[in-house]
Amino acid sequence: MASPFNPEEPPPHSPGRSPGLREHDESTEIFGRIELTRHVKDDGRALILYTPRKADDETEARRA
Amino acid sequence: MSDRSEISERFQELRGEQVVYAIDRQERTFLPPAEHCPLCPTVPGGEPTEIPFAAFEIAVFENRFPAFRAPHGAAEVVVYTDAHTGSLGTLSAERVRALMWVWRHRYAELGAREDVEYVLIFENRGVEVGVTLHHPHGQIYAYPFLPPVPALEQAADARLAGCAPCELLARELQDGRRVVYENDGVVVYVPYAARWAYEAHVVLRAHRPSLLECEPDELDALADALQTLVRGYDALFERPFPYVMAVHQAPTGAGSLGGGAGDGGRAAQDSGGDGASAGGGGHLHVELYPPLRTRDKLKYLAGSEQGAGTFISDTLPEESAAALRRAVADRVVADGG
Repeated sequence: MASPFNPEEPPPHSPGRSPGLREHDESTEIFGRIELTRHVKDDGRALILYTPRKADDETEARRA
Repeated sequence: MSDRSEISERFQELRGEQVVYAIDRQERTFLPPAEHCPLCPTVPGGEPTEIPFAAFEIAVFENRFPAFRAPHGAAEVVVYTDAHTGSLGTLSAERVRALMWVWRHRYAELGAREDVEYVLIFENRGVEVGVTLHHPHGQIYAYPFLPPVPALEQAADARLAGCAPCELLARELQDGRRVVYENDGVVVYVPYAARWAYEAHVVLRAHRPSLLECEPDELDALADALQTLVRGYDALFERPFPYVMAVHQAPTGAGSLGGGAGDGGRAAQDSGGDGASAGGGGHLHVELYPPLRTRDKLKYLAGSEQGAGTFISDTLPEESAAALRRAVADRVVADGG
């Protein structure tokens, strides 16, 4: 059986896999009560990871 | 031989609407076992997934099998958690509140694009509505045209000579029989003319065209109301309650939001004296369409619904609302609320 994790030959039940990242941006953007980091996957698709910020800065949250 | 990844639109003259052909989606992941879930984190030494990190909180990525793609719209997946099991109802309150900010960010960023006319944030829950991945997630479609439903909402605004959701919310509050849940910022009700037995609308009290115009406490209130409702749904028949959830906001009008999300969409917030988004019209609300009419019976869209466009309902909204209100209240008490 072919590996379900070979991106060039995904099995029928699991083709939605990506091997990794082409670009890995460590810089963080702040957007209200969340912060985010942007990445580009090996096949060129964008990936954004979001992390909640502490809700202790109401002023910044309101600005966003 | 056509390019299988090509996406095209054809105008259906008899319905006056676009039909999108994205035939590559025929090959998309279909109900994989948990160990092959593409939305789980990639564990060290393990097999790669869509999210090549060992852990994450909320992730958004471009759909590998998109219905729209740049420069003609976008299709994204919003993964609520790195845990494979669970639902919007079982997430922490803090996570759901953060999700509102993620939605706001995506609306701002996608809505600022020249190739996007309308941003729809949605979730399909349950195989009954066609879910193909069980991992808790939603989706975003950024349409390169204005779809029929927001166009109908604009027509309702014109027909009622003002904001239709504002008017309908006032009517529901005055009547009261179909109100399911309220908090400071949001009202949940089964609409007067619900099409689905347990259809619910989650409506901002204040006129907010989109997530961009909401105050932080209103976003918290929206998160609270959504989570309360879906927990009530699950309690109603003591089973996971399938639904389609759609976030209705103002059209973004081919990049007229401007400024992207870099400043949190502040440009859009400041652009309208009445708080209106640049696309015109709209009142932020979330509509949920559950297909269940009893614990084990589904409502199907059959002859009248598909052939004539007229819903035939087996239930009265007032009775559904009463049952759902009890389920929500019991669940709130059980949760210690």
